[in-house]
Amino acid sequence: MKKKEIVIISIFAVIMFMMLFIYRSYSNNLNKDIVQVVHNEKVILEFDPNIDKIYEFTGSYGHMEIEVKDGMWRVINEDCPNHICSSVGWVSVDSYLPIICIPNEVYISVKPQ
Amino acid sequence: MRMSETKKFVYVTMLSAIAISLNIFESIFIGNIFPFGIRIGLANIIALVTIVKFGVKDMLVVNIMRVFIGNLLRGLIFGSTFWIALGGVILSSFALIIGQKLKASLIFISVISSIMHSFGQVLVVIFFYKQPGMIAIMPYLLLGAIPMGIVTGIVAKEALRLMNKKI
Repeated sequence: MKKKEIVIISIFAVIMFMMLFIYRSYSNNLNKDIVQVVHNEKVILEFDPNIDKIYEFTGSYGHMEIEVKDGMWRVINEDCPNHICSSVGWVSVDSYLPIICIPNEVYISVKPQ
Repeated sequence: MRMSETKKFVYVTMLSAIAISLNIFESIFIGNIFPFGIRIGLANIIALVTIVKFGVKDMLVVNIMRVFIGNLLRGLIFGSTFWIALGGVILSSFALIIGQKLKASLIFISVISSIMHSFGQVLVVIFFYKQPGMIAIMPYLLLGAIPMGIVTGIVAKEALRLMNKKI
């Protein structure tokens, strides 16, 4: 690889890290008590991440479950071809990562203000 | 390299078959090792080999065949996975063509096409599946694309070295 090419890739990586940083600082202003599940642009479920419970709902492809424990949540027992949503694992308010399942058209994130 | 039409046709067909099998192998056996759906992109090795050995037109054939037949064999054709894969492949093919025209090094082309592949997938998710939250995951995906691009680039380079000896 040439020097110029390494520089281009490094600049790109720095921009991506900056994007992550900006996104983190933005997510500090979010309402941290409500997590919402959006299906087809409609909120189908809202839950409090501080209450331990398992929520069930149905997406476009099939059944899904969300396990909430100790202020964190994850997707379990989902019906979808790729299982990317459950591979994301435990997500908390601080890690601020939305969980997206495309086959089910479901989007789980902290509620924006 | 000079070879007859038929010979070239056979080679392109075989490369497509390898790309399709790698694609299916990866999605079944090494699908979810990395978080956020980051994948190595083994089939991209074949796209790199094809564009260097046979040129742009055959690379497009291999890439399109891989998306269509790969998804057809997995029973996912015209589902969400198919459209996302198609968006990724179109952008990564463009990146390969531009990189080849600019005579960049193979690993650089590989990294750029890997980044563009992820970016194309993210664009499809944001605009066609209306999931703007994907923007939050995009930096992770694009950062993950860099090491994966380097890995596929190195493998493609090695594969080309071996191929030049045999063919």
